[in-house]
This record gives sequence, C-alpha cells and structure tokens, in this order.
Amino acid sequence: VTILSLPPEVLLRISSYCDYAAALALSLTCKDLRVFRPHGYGMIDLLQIERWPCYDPAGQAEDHVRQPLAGRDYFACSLCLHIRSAMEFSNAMMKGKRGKHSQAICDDFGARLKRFCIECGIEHGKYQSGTVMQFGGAPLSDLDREIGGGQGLVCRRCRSFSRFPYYGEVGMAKLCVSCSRQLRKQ
Amino acid sequence: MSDNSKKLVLQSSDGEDIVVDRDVAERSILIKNMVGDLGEDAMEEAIPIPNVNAAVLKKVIEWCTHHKHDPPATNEDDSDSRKKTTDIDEWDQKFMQVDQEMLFEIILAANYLDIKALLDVGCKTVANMIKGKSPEEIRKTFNIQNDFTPEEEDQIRRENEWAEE
Repeated sequence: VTILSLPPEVLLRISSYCDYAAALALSLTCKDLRVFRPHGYGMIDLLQIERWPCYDPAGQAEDHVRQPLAGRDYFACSLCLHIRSAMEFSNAMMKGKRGKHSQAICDDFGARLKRFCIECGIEHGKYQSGTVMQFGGAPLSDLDREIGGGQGLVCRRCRSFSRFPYYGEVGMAKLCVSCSRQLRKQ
Repeated sequence: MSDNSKKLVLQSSDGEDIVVDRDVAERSILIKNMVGDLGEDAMEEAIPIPNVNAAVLKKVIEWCTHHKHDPPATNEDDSDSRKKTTDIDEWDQKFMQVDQEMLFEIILAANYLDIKALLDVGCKTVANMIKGKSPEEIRKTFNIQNDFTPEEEDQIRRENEWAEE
C-alpha cells in the first residue's frame, strides 16, 4: 500500500488540504497525480516555489557562490506573478531581505512579498527613466556576454530597459544604444 | 432508543473476531447503517469487514474509542477546504505516528468504513508530509516513480500558470 493505492476522492481530499505550492508539487511528481493540479495562486505560493532546487541552484551551492546567476536561478515577481530568470531582476531585488537565503524565510516572507521584476518596475513607475542598476546577479565576464548579469539602464527616451554587457559603459545621456544612434542620425 | 452498552463482533478480512462496544463501532457510518438494516440480528452474528485486516481494524477501533464522545460529523462540505487548517490535535498526531503502509491502510479503512473525521485526520497528516517540499522531495518521501520523460517534464513546467511564456 502506497500513496498511489489511494482512490481519487481521497487523493483530492489530501490535495485540498495542501497549499498551492504543495498541491502543485504533488501534481508534478508523476502522471497519475497530474490530474490533481491546483489552480489560483498568489505571491506567497510563488515564494515557496522559487525555493525548489530547480529554481534555486544558488541555494544548493557553497556559501561563496550563492549569488544568483542569470539563466540558472529564478525569482518570483509580485506584480506580474510570474517566476522569471534572475536576468529579469535588479540585483537589489535578489539579495538581503528580498533574496531567498536570508533569515527565517518560511515564517516571514516580509520584503520578498514586494519584489518586482524590472519590466514591472518600469511599467508601474517604480523605476524612473534614466535609472541605472545592476541586474542579473553575478556577471559572467568570461562567458558569453549575453547571459551574465551586468549593468543596465532605463532609457530616457524610449523607457525600455537596455542591458549592457559587464564591461559596457552607460553614457552621460542615459540613452539606450538604438535611441542614441537615432538621435545622432537626426 | 438503541442500547449502547451492547457489543458487536466485527470480523476482519483475515478472519479475526473483534468485540467492540456498539457506540464505538457506530462511529463508522457503514457499520451503523448495517446494524440499522440487520436489527437485532447484528448482535448475534459477527459482522464481516472484508476490506480491513485485524491490525488495521484494531487501530481504527482504538481511534473510535478515543473519539466516541465527539459530536457527530456535520455535513458542511469542503468548497473552501484549501483555506482549512491542517492542525491536528495532539492525541491524533501521536496516533498517526505509524509507518506509511499503516497510515495509508488507516486512510483506506476510514474511507471504506465511512468515518469522515478519521479520514480527515489521515488526509491532513499526508498533506503535512507534503507541505514545503519540492516535487523531487515528495517522490523520495512516498517512493513515487517519476514517469515523465525529460521532454514531458519540460513541457509541464512550461504549463505552470506562473511560468514565463
């Protein structure tokens, strides 16, 4: 007798006693349990899920390499309610109280509940145009420049976020590359 | 008026006769209805419980004995069950500290015998074992074989409501 010996109505009852993250995790274990997939979630649910090993390799790593890496670590955004790559967040949103590895994470979600991704930050006016920030976690200076974190800018003209490679410099005009090219042409 | 001092004999699937107070046995809606149907005959002969072995049946009777003075279950059902607490009282927590095999046997028996409160305690116990775990940790806990191919796993992960496009 195992958990899979239980009839569907009992498994449904068990799933209904789980919070979203637990019910989802159960439904992802094997094909027979897939049907008990839950619907409807909030930021607290995502803050649990972002700690699963598949979204939190940094949490499994040695202390000195616990920095998030773009393309490897994932974080929840409270505004779009998605779990997105570290690439989509400013470094300030991924460390300390807003990170995943500080204090007693499970009891008190605290500042993590208010984390937002760069896109949502711009859309909701939390990042003004001209803002310069570090994003994407640890820079991967010797790898492909597209993947690693680096310095980015909310363009003054088009208000989109443009990512500069690690060594790139943000000009005084605080314009993205394509906007400054266009202005130069005019 | 039923006479609650009377005894019933339950016969387990492995053929053991177990004597039990009628009011204890009638925590099971299945048994209560059977006794209602059989009338006085129920007192004379052993009632077969074909789906439950003696070890599990004794465990269930132990629970029913402890809870025989509980108010009967109300029939409000579970639409907002996700919000329901999974708190389990101390005696029940101790009672449920058994190996997984027995835990699932008790749940199956509670379901078959229609003892809703015991079924709930069992389901909450399992839910508490699931909470805070990732899918892989749950597989380990319950010895569930992952039968998704890596491609399927990728696919279902993308199907999550909160996943990136």
